[in-house]
Amino acid sequence: MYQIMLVDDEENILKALKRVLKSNTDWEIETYVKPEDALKRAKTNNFDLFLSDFRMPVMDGVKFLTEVKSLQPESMRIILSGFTDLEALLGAINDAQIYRFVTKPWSDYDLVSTIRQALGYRDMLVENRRLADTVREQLAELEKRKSALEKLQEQHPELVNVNWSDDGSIVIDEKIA
Amino acid sequence: MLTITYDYIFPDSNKVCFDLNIDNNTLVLSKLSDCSPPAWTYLNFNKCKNCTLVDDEYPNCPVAVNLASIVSKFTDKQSYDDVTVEIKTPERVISSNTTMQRAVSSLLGLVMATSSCPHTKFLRPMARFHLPLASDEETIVRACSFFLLSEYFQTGTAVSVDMKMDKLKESYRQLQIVNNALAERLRSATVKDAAVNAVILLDLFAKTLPYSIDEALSEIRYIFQN
Repeated sequence: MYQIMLVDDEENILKALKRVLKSNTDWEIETYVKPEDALKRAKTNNFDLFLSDFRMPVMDGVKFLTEVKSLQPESMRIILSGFTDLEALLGAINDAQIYRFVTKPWSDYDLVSTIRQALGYRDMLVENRRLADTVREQLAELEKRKSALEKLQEQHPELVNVNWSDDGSIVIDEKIA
Repeated sequence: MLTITYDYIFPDSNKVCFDLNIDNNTLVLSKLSDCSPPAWTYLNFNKCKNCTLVDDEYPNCPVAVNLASIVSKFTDKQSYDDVTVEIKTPERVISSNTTMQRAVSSLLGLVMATSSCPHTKFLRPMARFHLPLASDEETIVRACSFFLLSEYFQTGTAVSVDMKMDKLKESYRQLQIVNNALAERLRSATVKDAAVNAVILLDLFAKTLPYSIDEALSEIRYIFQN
């Protein structure tokens, strides 16, 4: 189940968004009118995706999503706004590192597709990180075994330096034997 | 002439007032200003995909021209700014402390309905009985009731009334296209976001109504079942 948080100072927008998104049964939605309350919640609960309005009293969407990014860097962040200026757009891209900027009024179909793509992208990032961690662990294990082998070679070279014949059998040095 | 006034009173006591004069017979709004309309009102600028008007006859979008006179007064207003709005209709006075986007949305809804746009024309009878700051529930009841009445008058017989309200759903779908294009126009016209968000609020309802009809008007059904 994906956890999605919606933030907008206009309740009717949240109501409409919930209606659009509710048909996706694998999405669990939480809504907040105040970004301050949303931030408190984000400190105790993980969300896969945050969708926020831009212009809100007290805290704007870029500031909110920038805070969210430091709390939950792997989350996807989207701004949904009716209006913005270049400065705000730059802040959204550079500071909050948003995935997408969606304009209001939105197309229901496009909005759902964008969220689905963002969640897919997040899954890919999480999977990539997991694979990278696995590779790192395996490399560390390999390094450990390599140094053990080197140590063994140093202490007991006869155990490591084996002469193989063409038929796969081990050639035992008669002098040693 | 039907006159409806909208007075906006801001926390710093500044006031912005609009007198809307609507023809009793055609239910079309009289010109709000004699100033030449700005470039973003040209018919071909962000023209609605479903627009049936031709620029030889209408060099400017009739809705945009009317909105221009209004939004020019609100360019410095944020959608969430507080405002007191007082609306006088011939029958009553309504006053509310609300946000700019809600207060402007109510006015824009009336202006859009009474402008000479082929896609907002179906809203004119509702404008005649304008209900300022109406809730979703009130608007659903009004939109459906007015549609059924208009069907009755147009078909002349209750038997052929479109009870599934497919035509109404389609009208609201067309309205969504108009709202989108208007929002684009307003984005290029305004500095702050109050006017754009006012159209966005209107669009929420345009999206809600077809959905609501598909859901058998479940949110208002209880009113008629007790």
